[in-house]
Amino acid sequence: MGEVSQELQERRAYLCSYADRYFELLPSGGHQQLPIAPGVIFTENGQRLRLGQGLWATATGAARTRAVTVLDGPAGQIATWGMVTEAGRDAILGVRLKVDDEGLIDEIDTFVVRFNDMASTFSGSGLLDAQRLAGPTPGLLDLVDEGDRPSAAELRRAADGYLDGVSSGEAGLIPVADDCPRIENGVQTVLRTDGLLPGRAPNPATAMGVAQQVREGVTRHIAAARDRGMYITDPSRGLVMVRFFFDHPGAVRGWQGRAPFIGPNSMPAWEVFKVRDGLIRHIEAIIAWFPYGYPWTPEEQR
Amino acid sequence: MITARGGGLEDLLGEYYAALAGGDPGRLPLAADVRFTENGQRIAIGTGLWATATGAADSRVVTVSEEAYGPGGTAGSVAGWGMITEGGADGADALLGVRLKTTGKAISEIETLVVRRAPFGRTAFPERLLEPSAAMAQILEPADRGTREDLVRAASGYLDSVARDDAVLIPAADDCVRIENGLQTVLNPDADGFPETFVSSGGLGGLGLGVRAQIRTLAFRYIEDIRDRRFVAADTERGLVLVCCFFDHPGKVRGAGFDSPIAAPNSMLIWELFKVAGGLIRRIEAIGAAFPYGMRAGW
Repeated sequence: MGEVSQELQERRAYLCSYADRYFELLPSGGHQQLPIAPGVIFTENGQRLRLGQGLWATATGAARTRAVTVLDGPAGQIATWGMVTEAGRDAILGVRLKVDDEGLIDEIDTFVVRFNDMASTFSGSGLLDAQRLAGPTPGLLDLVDEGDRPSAAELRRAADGYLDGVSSGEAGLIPVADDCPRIENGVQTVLRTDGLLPGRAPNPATAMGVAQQVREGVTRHIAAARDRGMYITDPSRGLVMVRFFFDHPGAVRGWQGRAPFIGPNSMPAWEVFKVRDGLIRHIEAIIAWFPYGYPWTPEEQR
Repeated sequence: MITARGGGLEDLLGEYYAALAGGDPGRLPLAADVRFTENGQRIAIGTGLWATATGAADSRVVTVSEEAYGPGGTAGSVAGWGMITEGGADGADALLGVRLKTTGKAISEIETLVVRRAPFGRTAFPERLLEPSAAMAQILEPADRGTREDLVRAASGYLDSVARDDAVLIPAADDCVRIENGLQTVLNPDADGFPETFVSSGGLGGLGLGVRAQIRTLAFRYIEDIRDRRFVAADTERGLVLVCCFFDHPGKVRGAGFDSPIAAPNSMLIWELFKVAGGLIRRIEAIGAAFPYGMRAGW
């Protein structure tokens, strides 16, 4: 087992307390009680809103524990996601907070994954395993032995390698272990022994591993992994998070492959990779369906 | 009926739909720096619906055009909507709104709104969307016409009225009909075209009511604001004005004191065409789709 300094542990607890507070206050709409810097930037699903709008106005519940947390202590950044209730329905909330030197939150980015949502560009209900996302993901936060620890640059390269490989169809670009699970909105989408996604028709692709899916063309409908940003790296746990969009051009004329979508859409994702000894060992992601070409950064910040 | 004056611009819109179905934007006279958006996103011309469209209906439901001065040919703006198909035989129908601005020589602006979801919980788009709306195309008697400003004022009165829940603001005739994504949402007591799920929800305050009566029932309290209004084309001969705007829906807000029919926050991009005669709104036809809360149109 690896170790981290007392100072880093304290920093970790400090940043986690901000995220805990965010989720605690959300269902009552008490955003005024957060330690907010003047001029805080707040976004929900890529749009700049006033703090208090969006999910802050509609949330009625929030989980006490969350599935995924990645933080960069020195940079004062934490990203985390877990389950919330909005108007009686399950939704996933991803939050990224930046805390300044005075202990005030000066940036809040949120990603709300809603199901059966009329604003979604996917007409189906979308898969969700709320139970799985209700608590911490086993093993994800384990410390990596110091000898196996990737640097921040190596972590970014691993995440980019995955995104490059999936969007170009080049499995060789992805530094991934054969037994690496990938969980999307709480549902495992690779290496499934049952060979199907819950409630869907049998699909041999679900039994394949990450690299094999790419090798066999399962991801060919993805044209790009665009607008990458918000990288957060934690070498002690071998974790890196990135947000981006997968572009799905849809049923393009003359296309011979599988096109799971008829109309084009862009899939926003927050994705976390656990890297040890040079290979991705575990992938967690939250995803939704937005209009084709949608950016993460609001117009006025570009 | 198409006048010689408006013909050029309306023909251009027809050419757009024809070129789209063939996937060939090169057939259009595009400016080198043409600006293109689909559902509020700035994307490269040739991508998005341009890559997936495989058919277009023979005619548009509505068309509105407004001339301006240009260096050559007919300059101005034209917009309209009609049905298209994406993805060929195994594909799906969609309702497409297109707005073009031309300098007279080349198209400089292309704004599109693609409605891919059948309206009000239906499984298919209404048949009505395959036919031109004769009522909208009708030319007004000179005595019934107003200026562009008159048209904009009438449309603004409607939008203010809906946004503020104040029926007094709205200059609408009692028999004013409103069609949204192909379904008649006022003066429709038999709920023609609506699935039972929508009717039983009591949506819009009652489909049998008129435009103002619905507002009086406070049926639109769930609309927080109607923002970013752009009056993109007006035709005084026909009494038409088209506004592109966003309806903000904050969802089921805690402590709101009423139940929003829309659960989660969203912003609906709506293109709304008003026919105004004698100072009163006689007919409204609109298309729209929901997007992430707070989204902008890209214009």
